[in-house]
Amino acid sequence: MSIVVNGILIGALWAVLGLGKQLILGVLRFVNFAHASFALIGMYVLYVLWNATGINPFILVVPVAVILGLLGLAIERPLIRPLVARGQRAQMIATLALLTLIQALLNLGFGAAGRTTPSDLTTSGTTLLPGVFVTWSSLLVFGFALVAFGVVWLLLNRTTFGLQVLATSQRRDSAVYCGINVRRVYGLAFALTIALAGLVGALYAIGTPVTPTSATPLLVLMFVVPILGGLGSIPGVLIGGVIVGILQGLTTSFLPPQLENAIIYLIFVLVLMVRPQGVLGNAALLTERST
Amino acid sequence: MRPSRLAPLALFAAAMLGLAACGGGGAGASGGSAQTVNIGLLVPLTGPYAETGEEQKLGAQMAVDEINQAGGITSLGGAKLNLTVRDAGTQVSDSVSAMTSLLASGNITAGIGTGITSNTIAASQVSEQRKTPWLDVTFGDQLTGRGFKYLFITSPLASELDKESFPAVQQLATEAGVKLDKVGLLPGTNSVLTDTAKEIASIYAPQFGWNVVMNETLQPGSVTGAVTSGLVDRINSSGAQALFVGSATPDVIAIQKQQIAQGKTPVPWVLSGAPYVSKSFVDALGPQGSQGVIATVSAGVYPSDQAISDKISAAGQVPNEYNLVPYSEVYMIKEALEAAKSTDKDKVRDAIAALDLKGGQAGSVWPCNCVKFDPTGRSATNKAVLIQWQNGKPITVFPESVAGAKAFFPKN
Amino acid sequence: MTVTQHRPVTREKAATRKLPGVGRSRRELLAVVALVVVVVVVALISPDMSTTAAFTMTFVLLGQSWNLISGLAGPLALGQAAFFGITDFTILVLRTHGVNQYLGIVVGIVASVLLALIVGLATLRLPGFFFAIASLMVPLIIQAVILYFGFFQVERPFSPEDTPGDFNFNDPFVYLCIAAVFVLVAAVVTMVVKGRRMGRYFQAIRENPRAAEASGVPTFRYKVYAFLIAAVFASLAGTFYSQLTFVFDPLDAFDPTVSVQALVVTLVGGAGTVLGPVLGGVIIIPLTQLARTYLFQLPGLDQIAYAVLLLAVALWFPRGAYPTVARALRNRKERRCG
Repeated sequence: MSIVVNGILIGALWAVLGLGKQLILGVLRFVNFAHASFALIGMYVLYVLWNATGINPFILVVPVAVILGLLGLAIERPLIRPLVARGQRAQMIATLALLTLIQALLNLGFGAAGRTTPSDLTTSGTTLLPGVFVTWSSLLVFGFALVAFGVVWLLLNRTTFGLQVLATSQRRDSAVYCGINVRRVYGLAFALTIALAGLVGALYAIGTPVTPTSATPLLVLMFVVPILGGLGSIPGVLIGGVIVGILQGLTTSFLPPQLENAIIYLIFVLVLMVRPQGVLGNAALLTERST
Repeated sequence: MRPSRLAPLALFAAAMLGLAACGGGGAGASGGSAQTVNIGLLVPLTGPYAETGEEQKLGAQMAVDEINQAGGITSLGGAKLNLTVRDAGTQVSDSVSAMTSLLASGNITAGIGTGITSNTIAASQVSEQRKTPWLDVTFGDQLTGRGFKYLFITSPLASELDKESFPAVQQLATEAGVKLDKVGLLPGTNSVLTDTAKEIASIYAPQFGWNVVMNETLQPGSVTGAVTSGLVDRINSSGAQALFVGSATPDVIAIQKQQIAQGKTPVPWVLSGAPYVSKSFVDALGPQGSQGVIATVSAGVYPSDQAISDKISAAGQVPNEYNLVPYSEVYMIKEALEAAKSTDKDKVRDAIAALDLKGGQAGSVWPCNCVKFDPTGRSATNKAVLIQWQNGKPITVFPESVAGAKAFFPKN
Repeated sequence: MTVTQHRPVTREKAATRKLPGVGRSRRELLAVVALVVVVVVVALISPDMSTTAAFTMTFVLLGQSWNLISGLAGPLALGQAAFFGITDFTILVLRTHGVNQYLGIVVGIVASVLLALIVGLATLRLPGFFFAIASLMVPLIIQAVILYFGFFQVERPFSPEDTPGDFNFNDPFVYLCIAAVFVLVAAVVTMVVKGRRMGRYFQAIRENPRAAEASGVPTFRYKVYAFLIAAVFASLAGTFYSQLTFVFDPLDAFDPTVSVQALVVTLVGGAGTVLGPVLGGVIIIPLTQLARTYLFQLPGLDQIAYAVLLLAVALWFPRGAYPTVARALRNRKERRCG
């Protein structure tokens, strides 16, 4: 029971991670291997902000997300926009390069020793249900993840921007004819995905030592979550995240923890084989994206 | 027709230039004058092991600066030492390439690194072929026993270390009035760590009457979120009184924090290796979180070495095996150079093999205060050192002859 | 603002359609021979270069593997490290049990092909991106299993004497020469595959899998064929890697970095061509070594330079070096003639 609850709590964070990936794949059709490295930047921005101000890191995650969003806007025009036109292969090369570049620069700037943004909330908690202990920080992370999810959902479903994103993702050309500023929509959507990555990074980093290689565990996970849940489905991402969270806990408790990732990957591959569109995915999107 | 054939030709001409520059650069850079002796340092400065590389670099550079300030190598007319640092990278192939590039110039008299077993296994083949004396601190037993002439391992075998450290731990527990009955083993995916876990299960547990109630290998970096609470639940329900070996530092930290969060005094750790005596570790856990954690290593700072300890702390690191051993290794090379009265690599190699030092800077970091190698090139004298975190400081607590404070066994 | 700017897929397809045909493959093969000879000669003149040159050939083979499955046949493979690593592992584990390394290599390649068959049959039906992610997982799963069984390091026993009967040489130059021969073999195989009916099927699958299927191309079967041949090339790369590094470490050999190296080498040189991976390897591997030798002043400076180079390739030469240069020269020739 404890595992399931804690799995759900952390699963929400994985879901936000997957949500950014979902948007970037589904809307922008952009292969971004560097996505995890923006989470890494988020971790370091949190550390810098905390070091400068000493404010509770759970308050600081909001400015971290904003700063990362601005960073996303800033690099979208010179870097991402030209790459969108250059095809998938150029995108892969460029984002792999970006991944190396960001890691190397952070290594240069901060050194390799772990930097910790401490919080008392990681070392205190409460008994949520009989026998189910959770730390305050994991509850807060869950809360932030849900809020982020809600905001993105509202943004996509209840605003003009959301409509424009949807239109652009379905028919780019028609969107242009309808008078949508496709470039602007792209830029904002990309910035949103980067802000989400930064938020996940910051939440992930509280209380743990951050090194330039800290984002490595997120690298593969961020592909697993949206695909497991279903590409093109926002509730699907949430389900995907929670499934991964619970599986992580279950495999650790009943199987050698060493095989935890292997089992998740194996389940992932099996799910793909049986139901490639994911749990809640749209099969139509699948064939469309197959090219 | 012709121009399209020219296309690749032009390109490979460019590539050839690149290759040639690489080889030529190596040859051109050879200074080789009697006034400087070049010592190579091949350590990971990027990637997951980079913190250990930064520590090794600091220690080696400290020793080089000290030696140069004190007048260099006397028997070579005051020749100065020069440290040439290269990044050993993450991939094994990176280390082989970096070693090749480092030794290509031919003017490296001796070298130090990498501190990672696999990478040293691979890179030392290159230093052996180039007949360059090479020193490293690595516990894996694979490194010696290959018949290498030029490789010296300054740490003892992990199994030798364990022969002293676990009886010491048992003694500590007994003195503190704790009857160790149930112990947990949590090694990481690393041959030295899993071998230590195997030894505990097969030798030390029966010897001291410990019951191994948990034995799980952890993949480094996998202990996050629900995994942490799952593991801590298992630790709690197993009733383990002490946790041995230890996986990657972030994993140990996560487990420790989750236990503190549950309002319990954490199950005491007896960790194998120097990564737990690092700035990252104590920064993440704080003085309270790290209190009482014991690490079994082969080198530490002792009350007599306060100056070295202060220098390392001033540079923002915690004195540990990774910065202390290269410090000692540079001094070993210095002593060998003094004895060999030459920068000839074979003579330096023979001088290192013949080293028998008592005291001095080279010996100071080791508990025996001495340096000597056995015929396979492994340190013949080094013994176990236990370091305990006390009030946010790493204190040597064993052996008693060099201990800075009395050890305590945390009760939970 | 024109509409076509927003249609990257069409653009990329236009580029692949103009890829060199069969006739040009032979000229590419000549260039491959020339490049390989130059690398060997450079290593002969400057023995310090032997290790770098041998690694270059190793990663060219790995690149050729990715080129065959992803450059020629289409499916985006991100897990070539699986075949690279399994061969590395098999050879060294068998060697520590006293098995002759030649036999080990054969067993390693067979193991790799069997693995490719299983993985291919299971995942190659998946559409584009899904196959890519599934293939990314495969080496990670194998890595975890091998670690679980306690193989953390498997090293090749050291012998100071050359024992050619056991594929053991102390001078990397020997491995370089043998690897060079296999690079040529791989190039010939790639050329032959490209020129035969299989090559035209691959082209059809690459450009439009659904149209290919509809017009009777057995797409799945041919993708599996491509995957099997690619696995053999990756195995050869793993063979030389095991000899050059002397040690197998699952965290090293199955790391995604290895799969990425295959992709980078090929994309920098030019995917879908016979020459591309060779050219890419000869550019990238010595350049990283050069960066390592001269850009050590700051930790990671060489990696920064490498990343900037890759970014430049992606932004200005997205098709890779060979197609870009070939096209530039062709344009110049046309201008001169016209």
